[in-house]
Amino acid sequence: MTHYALRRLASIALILLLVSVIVFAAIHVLPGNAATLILGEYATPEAVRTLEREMGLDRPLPAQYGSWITGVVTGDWGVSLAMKQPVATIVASRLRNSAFLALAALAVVVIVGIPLGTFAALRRGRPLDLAIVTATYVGISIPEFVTGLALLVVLAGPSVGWFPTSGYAELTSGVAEWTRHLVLPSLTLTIVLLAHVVRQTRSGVADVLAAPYIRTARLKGASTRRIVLRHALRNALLPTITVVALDLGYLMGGIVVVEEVFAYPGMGRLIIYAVQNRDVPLLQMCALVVASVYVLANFAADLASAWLDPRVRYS
Amino acid sequence: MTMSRRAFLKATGLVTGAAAIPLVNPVAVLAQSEKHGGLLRVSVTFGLSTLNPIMHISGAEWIATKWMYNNLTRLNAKRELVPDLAESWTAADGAKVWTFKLRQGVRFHHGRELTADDVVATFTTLLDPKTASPYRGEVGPIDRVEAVDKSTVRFTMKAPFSVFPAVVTVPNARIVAREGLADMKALAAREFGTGPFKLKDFVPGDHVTVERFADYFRKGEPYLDGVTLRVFPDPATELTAFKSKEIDLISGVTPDLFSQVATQPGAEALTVAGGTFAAVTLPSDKPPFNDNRVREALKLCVDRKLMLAAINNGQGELGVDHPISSAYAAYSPLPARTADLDRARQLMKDAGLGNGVSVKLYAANSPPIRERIAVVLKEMAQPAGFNIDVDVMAYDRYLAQVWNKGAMYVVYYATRPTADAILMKLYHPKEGLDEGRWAASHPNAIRLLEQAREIVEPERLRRHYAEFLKISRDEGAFMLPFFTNELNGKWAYVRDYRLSPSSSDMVLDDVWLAAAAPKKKA
Repeated sequence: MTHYALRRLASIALILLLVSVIVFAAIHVLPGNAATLILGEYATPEAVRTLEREMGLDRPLPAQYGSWITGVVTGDWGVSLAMKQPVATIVASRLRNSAFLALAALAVVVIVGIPLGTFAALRRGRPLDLAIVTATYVGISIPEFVTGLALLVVLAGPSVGWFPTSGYAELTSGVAEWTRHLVLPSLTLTIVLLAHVVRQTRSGVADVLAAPYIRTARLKGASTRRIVLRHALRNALLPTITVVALDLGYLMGGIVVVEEVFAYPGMGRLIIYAVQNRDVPLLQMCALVVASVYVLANFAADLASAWLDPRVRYS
Repeated sequence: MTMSRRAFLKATGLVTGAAAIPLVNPVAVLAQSEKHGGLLRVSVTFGLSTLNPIMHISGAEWIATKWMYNNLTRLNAKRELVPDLAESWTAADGAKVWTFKLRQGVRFHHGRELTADDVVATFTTLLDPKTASPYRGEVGPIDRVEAVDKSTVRFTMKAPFSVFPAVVTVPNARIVAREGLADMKALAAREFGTGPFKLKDFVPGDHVTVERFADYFRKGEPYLDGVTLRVFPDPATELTAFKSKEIDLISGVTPDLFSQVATQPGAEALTVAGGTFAAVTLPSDKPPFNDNRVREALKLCVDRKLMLAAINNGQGELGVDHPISSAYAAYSPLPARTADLDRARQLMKDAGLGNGVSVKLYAANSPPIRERIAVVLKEMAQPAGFNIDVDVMAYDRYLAQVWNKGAMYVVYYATRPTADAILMKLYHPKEGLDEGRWAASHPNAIRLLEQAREIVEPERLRRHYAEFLKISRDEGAFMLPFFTNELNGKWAYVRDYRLSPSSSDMVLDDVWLAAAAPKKKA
């Protein structure tokens, strides 16, 4: 197991390295750079050259990449070209904001999704099942910006006004205020993600309920409650864990849209900002962080599966 | 908190008035105290990367630095030149030497008093090629800047420059304390200004919050305790935030949402004619647009009124293919252009293009007006034989591959302080870009622009420019259909706010919040 974990970690490092090379290459395929964007339509060739020199953009690409990766390894993440602030500081606070959002959404998805899926499986083919499946399907079919705007106009509009339309409140301004700002964006993400978990749990539980050992348990006289909680769910949840981990990756994409709609200062908006301004060090770090979250979540899911199911063995 | 303070002041004002009838005018006391306090929340929909006045180029950044810094002079909402840090200015040597007398006792936010050296340091940094300031070319032909004494600054120009006192109102000529200029990187997130507000909190791309500067040189002002500028990437969210009174003032309402602001009870939709425009370059150094008949034919295809209605909801002023709107002192009206497809077809035939011509028109995708103009023009020009292939592209690609490279594309310009600034930028090959590649074939017109810089008397200057504007309309290398109005939305409780024809000139010195303003934390 330890050997496996170490091998996985090594391959994760390799994946991240490849991601950084690909992102770096991709952004340089596009014409222009941070200097042309800082100067915009006021640029003179001379001013562009001056800024390129100052930001080191006049050096050959391998040299630029080399000094960036050396910096990352030694803990110096560089300075944002457009904001002129340390990338580490910017990314840290935005990542924290997005993490609140993502975790809130994921928690609700798990807490609501697994019971819903289980209920649907127990009432297979009946109205409750149909209602749950249809509702979550509608949720996943509508894009985030539509769901988000609809929630925003209804729940944050002047007539209801339960929640703020947008922005982020620091924890220092009170837990209530902080939560109020999180509700609408995380609810939007939840609505989109719920279908995955519900569907997966539903089919997982349904499969297991048809298994011979469940029949045995029933014949033994175990209550439905005990059958579901002790026998069915534990086995049915394995694939759901993988789905949740994959959803985390999906969430990273959803966050880009949701943060734009709700003007929420997180990683999603930061990535858009970095792309628009051709802010290479900032974009590189954002890409690395998102990729890390994704591969580490999958890694964690694999470990969790092994822990939950003694039959799963990695060697 | 602000409410209780206001309530307290109101109460004390009444009490003072009642107790001391012979001594104090109670109405005056009340009026004075009523105005103070409150946080104004302003929204924008685009970039807020840096607060460095020497380097910033986006409207949101200009708005924010206007609150924290001052220029030597400023343009008021009527676009008249008024003193700011300079209390007076004089010209000598035929408008070649300009001397500014600074106001006494102006303090920076960090405590020190403003001196002529700060002005010298600011302009020296701005003009230094090593700074690479985007505005280096837009502050006039400055040769030297020097401090004559502690409160007198002298600018010596390379050539006469009559409009210089108005030119120093540009956002990049905000006066920065010299110690602030020592670290240009840090200046992106710090400030060293003299303005009505000082920086409290800045999250790039998200918001900036400023708070009242008690030692501001306009005594008693500002009335507000603070201001927050927030970026809303999505205009629909911005509008909902406004309706829910999370935002007090929307700067730059999109034309399609403007009517929604106007119909909101208690809200006021503000509009003023500005000088912002999008125009199409007609590269005049090569076929087909090197023939003025073809340029004229294209200009004649455009139903400007319809185009303005379709693209900007009718919010604007019709243009006649030159960049001077009624927002400029140098404006002189010319008869409106009406579409005339028959004449356009005839001109095309005369130019030997009776069978039509294919051209490629590039448009960046930001701001959206560029693409809209391109698409509508394609349709309007088709009947006269123009087959326009519209290529819409990302802004960064546009900058790198199309902009200022002699192609046919859509330019977009914000209001400048003077006619000189925008005309030089558009037409002059050295002082500006000559984006239509037109200067070489029209040296006399360019000379008119250069001569204008020697004319001090405003009415004479206006008449002089009128001649250029006529040439520009009849032969110029731009199809300029209309100017967009500046559109703002605010709640009625925001008082004494005057919308400037130049949207980033958001002066809040004497703006105040009436008691109806919602309670909120600073």
